[in-house]
Amino acid sequence: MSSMQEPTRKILVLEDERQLAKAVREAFSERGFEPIVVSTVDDGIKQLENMGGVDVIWLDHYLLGSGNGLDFVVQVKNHPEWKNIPIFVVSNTASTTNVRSYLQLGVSNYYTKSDFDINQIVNDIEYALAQSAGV
Amino acid sequence: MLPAIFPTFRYRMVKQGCTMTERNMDESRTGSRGERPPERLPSGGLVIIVLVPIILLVVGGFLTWVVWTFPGTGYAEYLPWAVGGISFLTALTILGMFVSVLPPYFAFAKDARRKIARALAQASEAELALRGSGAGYWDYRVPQNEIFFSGHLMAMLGYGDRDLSEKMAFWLESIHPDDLEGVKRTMDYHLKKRTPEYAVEYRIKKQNGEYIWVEDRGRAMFDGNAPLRCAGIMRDISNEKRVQEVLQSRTTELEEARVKIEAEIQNVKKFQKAVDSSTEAVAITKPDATIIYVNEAWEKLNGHSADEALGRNPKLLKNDKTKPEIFQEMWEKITAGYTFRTEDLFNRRKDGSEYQAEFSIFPISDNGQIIFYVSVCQDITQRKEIDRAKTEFVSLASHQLRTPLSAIRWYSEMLLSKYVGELNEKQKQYVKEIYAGNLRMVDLVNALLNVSRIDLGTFAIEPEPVDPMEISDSVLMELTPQITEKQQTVTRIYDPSVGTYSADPKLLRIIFQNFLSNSVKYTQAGGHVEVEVSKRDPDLYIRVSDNGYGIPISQHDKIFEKLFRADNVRQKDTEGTGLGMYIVKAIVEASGGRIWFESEENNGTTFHVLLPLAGMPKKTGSKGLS
Repeated sequence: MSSMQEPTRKILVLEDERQLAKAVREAFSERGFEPIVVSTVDDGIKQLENMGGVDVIWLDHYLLGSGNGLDFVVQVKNHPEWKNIPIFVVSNTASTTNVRSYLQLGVSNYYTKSDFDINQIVNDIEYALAQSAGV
Repeated sequence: MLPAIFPTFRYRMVKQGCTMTERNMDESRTGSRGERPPERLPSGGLVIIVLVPIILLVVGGFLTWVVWTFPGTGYAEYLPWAVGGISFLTALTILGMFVSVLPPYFAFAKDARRKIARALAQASEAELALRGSGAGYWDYRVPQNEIFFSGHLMAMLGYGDRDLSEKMAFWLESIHPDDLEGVKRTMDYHLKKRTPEYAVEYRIKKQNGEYIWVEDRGRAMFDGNAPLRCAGIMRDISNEKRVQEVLQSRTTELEEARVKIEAEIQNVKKFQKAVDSSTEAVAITKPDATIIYVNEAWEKLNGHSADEALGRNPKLLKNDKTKPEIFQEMWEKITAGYTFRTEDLFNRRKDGSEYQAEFSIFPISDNGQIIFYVSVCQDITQRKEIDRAKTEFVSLASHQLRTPLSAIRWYSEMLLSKYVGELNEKQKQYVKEIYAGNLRMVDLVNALLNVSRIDLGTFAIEPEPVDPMEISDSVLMELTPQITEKQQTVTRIYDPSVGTYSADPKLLRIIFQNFLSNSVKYTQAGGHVEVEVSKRDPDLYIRVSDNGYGIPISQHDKIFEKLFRADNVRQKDTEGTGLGMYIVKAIVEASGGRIWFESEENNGTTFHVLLPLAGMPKKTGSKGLS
């Protein structure tokens, strides 16, 4: 288990559904991540500022407060220090146009929540992190 | 003696010269006086024949005696006078007798000669008349049970032109069996005096076996109540019968035609009324599209009065929102004699407002020539809005459903992945059921979303180069657990020359996914599934066959309907949304392709798809199908 030897990886989770946020938190904790869960774009940015960046971001499209996932991605990708943080969009509602926008903005992948097991997504994220660590 | 004879003779002579009528009048007169009927032979001739010899004998004797005795008497010189006187008297008497008796005989002979001549003339006239009328004469001698047929009658029946006397059997055997009873009864009634005349029409056999219709009439002569003879004439009425039959059938035809025409008129009136008062807008145009009729609903819908519309082209309603392809397709169909129907027509009213129309147009042909078009139109703007709202609602609700579905999925998954400790077997089994049930719900929601995107027309086609065989393989890979469990065999027939194909991978995947998962699901254990991907210029050909449960023929037409599941598979497998084939068909048709299938219950199913080799056309839309 390579993850065990490395320092704890931080994941910022932007998810407004309490029930789902909890599941995501538990799943990532189990796999050795340190999940920071927020439900608004503003809180997400604040957390990034406080922590000076994270290893990976889990992003829902619709969030509480003003702004949606796209606004958040735009801000992150325009930030010199954060722009390389891999972002995984996990949403139930995004339209084709939105998905295309996300991919054009450079997010790592897009998932429809109900179509995937949480472990599949965690595996993908771990795999992506391992790949980028390897590079 | 002589005076007694003379008056009678004189009387007779007068009568012989009478005309028929006078004679008949005389008859009634003389009859009442007890005189002998004049037709009887004149009499007196016999008396003369007997009397003259006697007179001559007596006179001869007397003369002998005179000649003998006179010379001895004083009258001897008178002897010549005496002989001469006696002879003279005798001659006078005999002459008188002849004169009084012979004239009636001459008159009688003359009359008889005339009568014979007349009778002969009448007979030949009657015969001519009989022949001329085409009738034949017969005479039935009842006590002897014999029948006489005239030569003409025999000729009529196709025998030689010779009279014939036969037993009744000949006649009875010649009558058509169906008519025999009736003829016998008619004759019987007449012979029993129950009818004044024997008259009947029936079929009689000719010598060559052919039957002709005859009219047979006759009258019987009786001795008291016993019939002696019955005679009559028979006439060939076959031609009349034929004419009668033809007339009868013509009359019937005419009557039927009249009834039909009347019914048609009623129908036409009914339809006219129905069309006039229909709530749907109806217009009729000539083949060149000139409007020749509009109903009230049409006027109301479009704002143009009938007077304004008649003689004009329906283009007066034209709205640029209607795609030109629609008109093109419409003309192609209706000029070929097919009905055309669309829900994508937009019309403009007289006041400039517009509406979406459900529009049908029916070409009406007469002898293969289109004589006019009938169009039926309805404003469906509101209905379309409601449909749209409904579809949007389904879309929204489905999205909302996904969040709790994700929660169920993830928590049951985490329970199974031992994060919170190991479950016992029963618990694990139950959670697996929850997980599986949830997956079905996810599939259903996805399918509903796809349908709503199809119905809204918002689904996108984003083609990119893909390998159809690879997609087919990956779907088969996913289905491996089920295929293995049911020990089914799969044959792949891939044409390597297909290569890459320009398609939306998600859509192509939906096609394979539905075909293959259905085949696996609806084929018994040990069954066979075959998938083919090849070229059929100018198309890409996809075929998926199985030897499974099949689709009942009665339900073939419903297979592409929303939420339809065939009866036989619903009993065997409760899963399935009934949306898959609807989605596949929409994808194929939106891609410019064609889909069809063959299936028989318990005999497997084969689905065929043709997609243009040029690739799926790009279609922008807010949502892809998932």
